[in-house]
Amino acid sequence: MNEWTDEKLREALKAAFPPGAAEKPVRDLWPQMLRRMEAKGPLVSWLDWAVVALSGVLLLVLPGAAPILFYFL
Amino acid sequence: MELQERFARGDLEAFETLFRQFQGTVYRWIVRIVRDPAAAEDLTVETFWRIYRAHARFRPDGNFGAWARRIATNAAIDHLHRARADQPLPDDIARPAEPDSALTRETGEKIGEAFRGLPAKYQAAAMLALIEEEPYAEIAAALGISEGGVKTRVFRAVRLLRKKLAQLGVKP
Repeated sequence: MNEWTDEKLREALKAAFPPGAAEKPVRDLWPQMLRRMEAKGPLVSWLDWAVVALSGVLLLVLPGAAPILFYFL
Repeated sequence: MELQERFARGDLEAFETLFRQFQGTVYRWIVRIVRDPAAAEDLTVETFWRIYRAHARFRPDGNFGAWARRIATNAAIDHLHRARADQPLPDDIARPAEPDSALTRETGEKIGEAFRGLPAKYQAAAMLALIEEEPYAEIAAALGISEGGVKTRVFRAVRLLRKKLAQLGVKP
């Protein structure tokens, strides 16, 4: 039968993508990681931004709440 | 305080320790999906960048390796999506086995081309299941789907691949 059975396809794929890729990176990637982190600047999560935004809104709506807000922040 | 707990709190030294401990594992997993060592290195860094950004969501009592593998899989799929049918694989990886292979070089290249034309999520599932022969349970965990979901993706990948090979006139 001249058709792609599951087995023939599997064998063909294995032949087309033989193993051989390096089992580990050729160099330590930590310096690259540090460069990436420095390029992106300090880490500020979305939660931090949300707290800042909520605090700003609260101060605009209720300026009298400022002492309480600063106490808790 | 435990290493994972310190990492979850954003401790850079704890992150570096985990990076050094898991960079090889993450790289090996990625390179098996993308079949490109240079891209796998970049994607390893991308994976750990995503991990670092998500540190607050990590449960200190969780399995860091499994979590990292899942993030790595997503990064690899994103890469496959961008690179889909865009460029040939590096020679040392894409070259069909020779000369004992039953396939000719041309056939191997066409199969590789057809495979890289599959949707990224199908490529990843089929690469891990059919070529790397990873257990379905592990693939499912890495993809964040059920084992049935993995089987469906592999089935669809095979069906699409057969169709593409027929279009290309490639026969066994």
